[in-house]
Amino acid sequence: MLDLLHPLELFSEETPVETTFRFGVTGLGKTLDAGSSEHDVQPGASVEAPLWLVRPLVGRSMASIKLPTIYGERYQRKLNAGADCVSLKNLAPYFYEVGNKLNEMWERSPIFSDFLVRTFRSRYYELISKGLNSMTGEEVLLLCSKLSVEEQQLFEGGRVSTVCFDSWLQMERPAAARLPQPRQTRKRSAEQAAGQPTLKQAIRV
Amino acid sequence: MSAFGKRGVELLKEVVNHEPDMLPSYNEELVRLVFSEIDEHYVQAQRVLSAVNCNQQSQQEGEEEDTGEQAEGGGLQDKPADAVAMVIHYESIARNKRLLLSYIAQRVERLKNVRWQHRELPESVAEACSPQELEFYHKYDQLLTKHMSKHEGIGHDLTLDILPPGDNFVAVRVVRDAGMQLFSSGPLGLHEGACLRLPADEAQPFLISGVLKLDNRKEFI
Repeated sequence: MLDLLHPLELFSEETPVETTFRFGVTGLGKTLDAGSSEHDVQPGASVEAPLWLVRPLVGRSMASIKLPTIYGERYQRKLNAGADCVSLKNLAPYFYEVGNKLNEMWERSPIFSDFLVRTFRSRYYELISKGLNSMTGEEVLLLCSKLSVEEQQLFEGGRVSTVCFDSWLQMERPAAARLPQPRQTRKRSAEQAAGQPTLKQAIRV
Repeated sequence: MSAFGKRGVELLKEVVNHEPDMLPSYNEELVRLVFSEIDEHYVQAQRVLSAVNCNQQSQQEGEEEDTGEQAEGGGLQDKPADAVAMVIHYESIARNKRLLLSYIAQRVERLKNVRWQHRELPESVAEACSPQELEFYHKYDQLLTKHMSKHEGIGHDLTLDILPPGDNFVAVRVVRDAGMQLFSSGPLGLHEGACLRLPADEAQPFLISGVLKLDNRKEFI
């Protein structure tokens, strides 16, 4: 859960969810359903409403929801099959944030919680972690087209820290290069000049 | 009635999608439209409520005439569809309020950053602000200046080194003539193209104003 006024929290709550109104709604037929010509929403009618509107209605038992397709069985199978099978960027840009909120409405169903955690784990390991270690520019672009907004932020954070670490390592190098070189070469040549066996020759003996 | 909270989201996207260090112009027109949507929801909610109250009254009067006893009920409990409409109107008002607050919070955060990074309000930013935002900036500026002043505050300019310096001295290049300037080591001419090593805290104001630029050439360091 993000902050109350955090823009990503507000944007994620715009996700449409299919809602069935138990008692109907007076006077909001055309507003809730743009295609409808009726003044009221009839009891039992289903319309797509934003998540922020659905939560209080479900909490008061005034409406029930149908799980969005991305969290359905078909996509669960796809996501379980492989981390990179599904591109979340287009299908569900706020996959985890919306998933958490839907889970809250269902009083934290253990099966759904497991599904979210499993998906995050596999995608984190297969996509984000591997993407940070060994990838070309084109591969990174392709990867970014599959990540959800939350995953994208995590990936960006990891990328920035990798760049910072690399630049820190590079700063160390010139300092090491400036260190005085060991005088072994000069010593060895002096020993050779004196006719004494060098270390290499001594080992051979 | 317009789509629920869409204008508020549009408003927020405008500031979030803008460059992080810049402030987009205050969109007074869209803010006004969000307020009008709130008013619209309030009027609709009042209408639903008055209709329910009228129904309740007429029902009670009818039952009193029939039985001679005071009747109960006839409110929102008996009309759940009206209750749902009331909840939707209330939530829509709260949602729009939240979007507006987030819009203002995002802009205020950027204004605060301007004070810490540039010390004074650039003209381009001032033009993008609303009168209320300008008032906020000036009061924030006064508070921060007072907090950092020698007599009333801590006596140290906190905006000087936002990031800790790696060295006491920095290598800089003069990119704009600034004439003779007084440093702790004595007077020094800042002439365009000159490369200097100056104390980090003394170079900072000139770096912010664009007279100096950090010189990252390795041979110079």
